[in-house]
Amino acid sequence: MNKSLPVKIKNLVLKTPLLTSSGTSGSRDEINLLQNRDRILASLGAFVTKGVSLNKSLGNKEPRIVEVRSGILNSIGLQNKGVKVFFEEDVPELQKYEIPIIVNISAGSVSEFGQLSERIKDLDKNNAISGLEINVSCPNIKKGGAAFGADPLLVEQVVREVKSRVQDSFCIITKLSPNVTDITQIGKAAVNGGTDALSMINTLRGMAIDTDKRKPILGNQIGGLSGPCIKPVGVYMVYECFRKIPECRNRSVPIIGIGGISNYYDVLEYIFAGATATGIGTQWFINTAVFEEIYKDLNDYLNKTHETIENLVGKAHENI
Amino acid sequence: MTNEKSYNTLCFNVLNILLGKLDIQICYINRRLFNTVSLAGNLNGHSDLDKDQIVMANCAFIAKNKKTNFIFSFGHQGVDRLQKLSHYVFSIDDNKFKNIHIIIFKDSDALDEARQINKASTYKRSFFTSFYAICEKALEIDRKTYDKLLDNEQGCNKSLHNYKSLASLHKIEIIDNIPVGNKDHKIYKLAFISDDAVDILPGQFIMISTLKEQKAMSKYYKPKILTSLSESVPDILNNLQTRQISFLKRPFGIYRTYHENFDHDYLLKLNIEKELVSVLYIIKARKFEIVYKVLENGIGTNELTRLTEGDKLEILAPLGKIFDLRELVKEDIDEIHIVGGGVGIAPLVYLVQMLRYLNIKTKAFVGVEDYDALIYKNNRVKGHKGPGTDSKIYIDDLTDLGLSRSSDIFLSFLCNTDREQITDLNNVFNGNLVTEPYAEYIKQHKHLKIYTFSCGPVSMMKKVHELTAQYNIKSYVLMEKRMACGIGVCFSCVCKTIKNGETHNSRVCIEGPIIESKQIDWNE
Ligand SMILES: Cc1cc2nc3c(=O)[nH]c(=O)nc-3n(C[C@H](O)[C@H](O)[C@H](O)COP(=O)(O)OP(=O)(O)OC[C@H]3O[C@@H](n4cnc5c(N)ncnc54)[C@H](O)[C@@H]3O)c2cc1C
Ligand SMILES: Cc1cc2nc3c(=O)[nH]c(=O)nc-3n(C[C@H](O)[C@H](O)[C@H](O)COP(=O)(O)O)c2cc1C
Ligand code: FES
Repeated sequence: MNKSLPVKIKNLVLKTPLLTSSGTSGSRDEINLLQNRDRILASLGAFVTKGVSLNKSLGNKEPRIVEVRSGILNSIGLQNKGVKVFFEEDVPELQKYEIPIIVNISAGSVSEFGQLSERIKDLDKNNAISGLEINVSCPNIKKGGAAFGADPLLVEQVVREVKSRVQDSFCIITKLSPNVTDITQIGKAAVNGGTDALSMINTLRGMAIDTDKRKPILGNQIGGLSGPCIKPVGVYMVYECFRKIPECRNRSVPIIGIGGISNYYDVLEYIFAGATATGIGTQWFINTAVFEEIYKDLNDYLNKTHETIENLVGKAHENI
Repeated sequence: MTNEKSYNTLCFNVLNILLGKLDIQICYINRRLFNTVSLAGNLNGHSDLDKDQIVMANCAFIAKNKKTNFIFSFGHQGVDRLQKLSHYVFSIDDNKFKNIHIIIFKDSDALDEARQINKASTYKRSFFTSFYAICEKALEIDRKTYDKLLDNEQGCNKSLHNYKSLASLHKIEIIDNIPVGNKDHKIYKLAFISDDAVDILPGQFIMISTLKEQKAMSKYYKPKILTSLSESVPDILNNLQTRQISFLKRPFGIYRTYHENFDHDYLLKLNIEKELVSVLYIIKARKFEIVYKVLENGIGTNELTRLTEGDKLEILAPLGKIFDLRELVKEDIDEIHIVGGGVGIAPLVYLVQMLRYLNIKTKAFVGVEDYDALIYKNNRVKGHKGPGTDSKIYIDDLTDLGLSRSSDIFLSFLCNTDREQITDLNNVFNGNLVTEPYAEYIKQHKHLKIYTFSCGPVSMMKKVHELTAQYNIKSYVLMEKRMACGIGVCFSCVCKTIKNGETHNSRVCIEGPIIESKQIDWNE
């Protein structure tokens, strides 16, 4: 293994700074369908699952994904089988990936987040799960959802609740929504609540209208924007959080940068802005070889520059 | 298995269970390859090849039925020998498929290796099988004899269905892109050749990047693409003040595949008993065709119309659930029907290709708008059609694949069409939905065991579902939903299904596109 690529998210050692991002890589065994399965898994530091909730959800009406300029809008609506079936059917398969698993969790209230995380702790008899990513930002759930992500007090409560239920069983990551006035306020709240790491950004709220039918295209009318078009927003938000949140700056609360990453230049941008690791979502729909390509390119880059990811984090802040 | 001779002998004896059942006679045995005392089959036939020195020296044994000589050899006899035999059989057969070379490999890995497209010059037009495939078939036919033979042998229960059909990105090059019908129909037939083999089964699909060199967002991003952006944006989009260029790949079914050394109409001549042919494999396909409809304001399909010979693109394939038609051979099916409307016929033609390969009786019910929607200028086909001749999409290909114009193809025109234009088809229906003649046909053939596959507009598939349910016909549809990833991770392509009384949102790219029609919630 290359010595320059591994990074640490609290106690979690990732062999590379590349993660899947929630909802874009499945939650069971989907990667096994691909011929390059082994190369993909060798390039990943951890696998982040699709959002899991306490109870089964059928998701939103169709159409659920619409293509826009340099990105997509989605309103899947968190279709999932519920946490119990997730553990029965999917986790045993996920374990075969043999990389750390981070479960993305979604709920409609503070207490439900607490219940859900405690269920996971109980169900995780084999210690298959390394971390939880709290999705306080999914804009598609009508209840809560956006409201959570935008309210610092609620975010702090949710994180504290989850933390108190699972103690140190899992690395707790809080995933922030970009649909807020000042993301650093929310980031600080999560830090105060005791989060181990922050990830950002989730999708940006947006919509598309069919000009022939003169009505919204998505079945759910509004959706979340992702893909290359949101990268500048993500990079900016990581930069701001690193700059304004002392725990991020001293890296006791590391940042996972997500949003619009398509190649290794994009990964570097996020790292220089202050991210320790990065998540890749939508690009994976376009190019199933994206992880191995980025892995190889990063490796070449670090070999050429004789540097490690860890000492490149936040570089852009030094060079102003 | 102790040594080669006893393996060969066992293999022969197991295969003999199948040959015996099919009344295929043994004409020659190359004795030095076998433990002759243990051979189960007798020489009981004669072929014109059992005096042919080249065949005799290089093959393992020869068998024949009324029409065909089967020249068998073993994969471990050495590439030189097999190559020599393959080329020789190819040359004497003159594409009549009266002489067929079959190579038996030990396992599915060796079988898969032989089917790679770079082996086309080595094995020419050979057919391949594996010991395990033969074992499975023999077991099905006569368990007792099989068990007796395999009494002392180990490890023969390994599964044959070890398809290596994992999805991956393939580079493709466009061969041609031909408009079909007139301007209003907006149908094209796109042919391409792939860098390497794509083992795609009927019902599966591909995701195709519709802009050339579309890896625009990856590191292969070349500024060149940016400067030529306006050129590569389809006209129609320019006219619309360029809405946008495509970002995701687009899903399409396969219309036909072509295999090196096999003529486009080889299925007209190939005629092997279905139980035998269902254990035989041929070289993987390299050339593919899709038929696509250009949607009004459709970004990807309009981009596709701009492609010309030599353009390079990328596909992700094969995708979708494996629906193994070979399994259908076991069922005593009288007829398989395909019912297609419009461009939905396209993926069903590929299904027919596989069914015809398996020698399963097939009827096609085809519904198009009008006569013109079928016509295109064929500037490629070798053989009987000259360049630039008029061809009929679907109809000519179904005929190529061995369906009879007089009794197997039922053509419906939605709009009234001059009957005179179609003189060579017996069953033409005017001003009809395809489901109308279909209803009539199954009513008259109630006594048959039928399986139906349909694809087309949802209303049509629903109607076929209702009709087939009425007569207890097993019925499948090829579902079509908006897709983003094609690999089951985005949950965009869901379709309401009912299992055990419960409603599910099933992903068409994982649980389909072929779905049994009774599982679908048609009231959605
Ligand atoms: C498994 C499968 C097999 C298919 N096989 C064929 C085929 O053989 N021939 C053929 O002509 N068409 C086929 N289709 C439909 C074809 O994929 C769409 O017509 C095409 O994607 C439209 O793209 P567009 O960019 O022109 O339309 P746009 O409207 O610009 O597309 C926007 C998005 O919506 C999706 N979309 C739009 N219409 C459809 C549709 N009807 N079905 C699915 N997705 C749609 C597109 O893929 C794209 O992601 C198939 C679809 C599926 C799911
Ligand atoms: C189809 C789809 C489903 C998603 N589902 C989830 C989810 O369940 N939970 C979550 O926290 N984020 C979800 N996201 C957001 C992504 O994880 C990611 O934050 C976002 O897409 C931005 O990254 P990208 O531009 O690389 O895709 C989803 C995104 C997409 C496109
Ligand atoms: S297309 Fe993404 S799940 Fe089917």
